[in-house]
Amino acid sequence: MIQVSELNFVSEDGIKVLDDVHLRIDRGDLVFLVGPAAAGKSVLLGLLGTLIPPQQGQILVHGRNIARLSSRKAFDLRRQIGFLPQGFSPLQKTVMENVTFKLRSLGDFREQAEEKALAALDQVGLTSQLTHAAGELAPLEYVRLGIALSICDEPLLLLLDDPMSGLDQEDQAALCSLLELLNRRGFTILTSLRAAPANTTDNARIVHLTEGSVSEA
Amino acid sequence: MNRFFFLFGNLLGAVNSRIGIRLLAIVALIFAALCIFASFFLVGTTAVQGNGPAITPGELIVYLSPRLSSDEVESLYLQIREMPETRNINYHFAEEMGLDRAGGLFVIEAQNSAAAASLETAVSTIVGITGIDSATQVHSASVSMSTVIRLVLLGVLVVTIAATLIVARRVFSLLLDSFASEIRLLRVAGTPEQVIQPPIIALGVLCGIIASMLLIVVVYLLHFLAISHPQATIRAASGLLMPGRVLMVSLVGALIGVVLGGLIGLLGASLTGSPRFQNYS
Repeated sequence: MIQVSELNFVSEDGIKVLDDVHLRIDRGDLVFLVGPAAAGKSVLLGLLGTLIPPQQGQILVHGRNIARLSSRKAFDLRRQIGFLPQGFSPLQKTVMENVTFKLRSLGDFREQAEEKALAALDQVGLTSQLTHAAGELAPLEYVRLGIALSICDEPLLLLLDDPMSGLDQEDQAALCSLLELLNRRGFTILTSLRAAPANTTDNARIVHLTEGSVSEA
Repeated sequence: MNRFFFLFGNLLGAVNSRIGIRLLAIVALIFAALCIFASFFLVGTTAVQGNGPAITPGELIVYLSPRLSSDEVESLYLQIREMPETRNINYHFAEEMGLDRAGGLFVIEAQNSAAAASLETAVSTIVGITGIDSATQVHSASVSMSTVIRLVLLGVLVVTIAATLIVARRVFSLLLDSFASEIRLLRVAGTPEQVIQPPIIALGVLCGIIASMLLIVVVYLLHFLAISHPQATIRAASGLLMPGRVLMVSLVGALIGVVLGGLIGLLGASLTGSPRFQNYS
């Protein structure tokens, strides 16, 4: 599903962020990309999500080299990737409206968008808060809403950028359980974290990113 | 179109009272620019100079409503001929005189220049008269729009357009700030710029359309005022007495308003490239 080889990335101020990264993620994988702050996790996820243009190296997503994609095809590919950016903040709307906004802006009609939104919110356990203002949600529910937004259009791949920052131990464990549940339901997930999760299933892979280099536990 | 109207509705939803007032300021500035444009064609150009008959001192051209029957025209003819100030009166069709208007007209020769003024006053009160041209009006109108005034107006027009663009950039920046979360979400979701930008451009065009509609309403109000009130000072803007010119100014003005609005919209849409609307830059 994702094949990264010889990937290098240098920031605008000349700092080497990624150094000869090799990574392979197969369909159905649950991968935790672990590394300290400023290790390059967000850049790697941004590159995989086609939000940052690659500089050097090869990234194949769904068999397509993203460096060679036209902007139109890059947008098409991005629609197949559910992306939760770091520091996600929802719209000043209700929980339901947040999800339907994304779906309707992608071209779905109201009924279709509401149906998909309900299904996504059900998967993350937010059906009891459909009409709540998104800004008033608890931190874990915030992340659940972000994940619902990422999965509502049934993507092939889910990229979550540091979803556990700001959560306490209990919420982090609950979020890990949710990710494992989604993974069992068929989602391929790559999520970045600052520290490895305490309890993970056997299926989960932990990949460390330190000073721009990747190593697998 | 579903997507466009959905996003356009959401963009309008991001307009709060503060931004709304500033958008109205943009409409007012576009309207001001269009008014200046219209004044070039409606003020200081006479109905008779250039493409109509020359008016000599002591002569009046009296325009008749095209709705008058031939009996009513004949009755008016007799009524004016019997006035003591009238020396001679002739009826013509407007087309005959090379004028761009419907209906007929009387060319009246007064006994003298002094009599022409009182004759003009007397004739202007008669029902069925839509306009009067006299040598005095022609003279005053041509003076009111000298080359210097035109150059000044042109300068004001340029300044107004520049001010419109500067204000528009600021207002659209404020508007997009309150729509920034939506834009970031759209970008992450894989919505191309071709979908994000058209509603912003459409908002600029909407401002232009509102200003254009205002121009058309104002120009036609002044046109009907000038036609229905022979003594109104607005008749000094003699272009207002010419239906063809009023229509041309309205249509061209509307087109310019829409184009100016579109330019403002494009300026606003160009702001979405700013890093504050990117999740990763």
